[in-house]
Amino acid sequence: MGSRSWLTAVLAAGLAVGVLTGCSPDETRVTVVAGTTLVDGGLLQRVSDDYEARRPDVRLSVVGAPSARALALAEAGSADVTITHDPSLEEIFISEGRAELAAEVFSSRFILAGPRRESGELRGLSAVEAFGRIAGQGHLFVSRADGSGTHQVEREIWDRAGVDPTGMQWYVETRQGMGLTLQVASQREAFVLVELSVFLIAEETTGLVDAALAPAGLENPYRAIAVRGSPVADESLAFVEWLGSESGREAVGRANLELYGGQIFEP
Amino acid sequence: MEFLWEVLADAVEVLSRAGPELWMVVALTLAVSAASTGIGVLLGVPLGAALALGRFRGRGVLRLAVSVGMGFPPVLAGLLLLLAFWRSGPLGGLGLIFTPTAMVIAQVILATPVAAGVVSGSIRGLGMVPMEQLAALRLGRVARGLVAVREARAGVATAVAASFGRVVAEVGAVLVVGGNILGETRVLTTLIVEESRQARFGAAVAAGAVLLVIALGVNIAVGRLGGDGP
Repeated sequence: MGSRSWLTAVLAAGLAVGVLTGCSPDETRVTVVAGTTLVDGGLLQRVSDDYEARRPDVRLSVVGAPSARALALAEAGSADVTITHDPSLEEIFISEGRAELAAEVFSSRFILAGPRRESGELRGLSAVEAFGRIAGQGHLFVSRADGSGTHQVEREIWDRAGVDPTGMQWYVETRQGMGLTLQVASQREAFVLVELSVFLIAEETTGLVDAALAPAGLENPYRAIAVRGSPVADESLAFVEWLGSESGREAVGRANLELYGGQIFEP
Repeated sequence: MEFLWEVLADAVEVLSRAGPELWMVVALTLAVSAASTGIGVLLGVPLGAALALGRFRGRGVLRLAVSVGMGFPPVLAGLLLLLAFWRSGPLGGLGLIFTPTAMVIAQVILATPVAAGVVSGSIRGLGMVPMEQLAALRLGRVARGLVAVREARAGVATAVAASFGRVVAEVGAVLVVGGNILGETRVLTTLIVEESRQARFGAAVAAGAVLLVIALGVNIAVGRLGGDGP
């Protein structure tokens, strides 16, 4: 074959694969934009596989985005369902009448991770006390600074500790997702506020430990919202209803067990 | 269409009020790309000349390495360096992970084979007659190489442009090994990735426009120096 016919063959093959793997017309596609943690950790993929097995006519396209961005995408009509963990933004979203249905579906928690020795000195302190001490010592702290639910919780703790860390020498802002932020904290032996499941998955490679703070104020509730005005409103509503139902809770429980061996995202 | 106009208007606005945050990214992009192109060309030109002119053991292997290197997947180079520089990895003690230096090292790995390949090709492209003349000069090996490189200087200019083009547009390697940390290791390409991932399309397009200007500017400048275009 000449080079031109090769090219044609490759293009034709590519086209065929594209068509075959594309959405079939009798499937309804629901775009679910969820916190990056849920997507990166794989929990949502398992739960959505479970749902798709029940509803072969529905296809869930799962996209990860920081909570603020997820809600903005919903507002712009690019998301049918959101699953986020930023209560104050969610309240605003709901109060503006943009939610068809909103339900708290599961909850995990945040931990402060840090280098072994320094973490030991913070054991049992409240988050506010621990952050105050880190600022006082000027110990390196890595922040996502990306408008995520995690970042929001971190900012609230700094506020309550009466510290504004922005621009401080010891405060590194990655403006990125949890995975990379955790890597940077690990490699610089810094403290980082991290959602428990992400920490557990990466625990061995990061070498950071859980500072074991008092749990108050570190809860991490996730809320699913079926976005009003979605072109696939019925399917979106059905999915959110299912997430909150007995069967949905069981699916979340199973996904937890398979991924973490315990209930990290408690349904 | 309205959507695209909005994005464009956003991009213009981002550029018009671009502050030190963007210029820092531009400066780092230029510094990392220039350093890695410079080192890559310094290593690649002699290597390319040796491959074109030399008769030595291991030449075949080296030639193959250059061919593979020219098409080496950048993100894989990034991954290998990430593993090497990881704190508990073999070179972790150097403390290079998530630093501009690590990004330059990754880019040199990508640029050197490109420079070597282009220079080697253009020396061989001089044809038989100049090669025979070169042989007749009875020069030492280094001097012969220098004369050949001088003859193929348009190829050297192309090598500079191609190397710079590869590194300035590259995203996978610098993202993985640099970490895309704000104010430390963020360059234009990784900025675009981040902005588009967060659906801040105006900012992404603005960064893209700056990147395009840099890439075109360097290409045109190098083309002038080399005496002719593609």
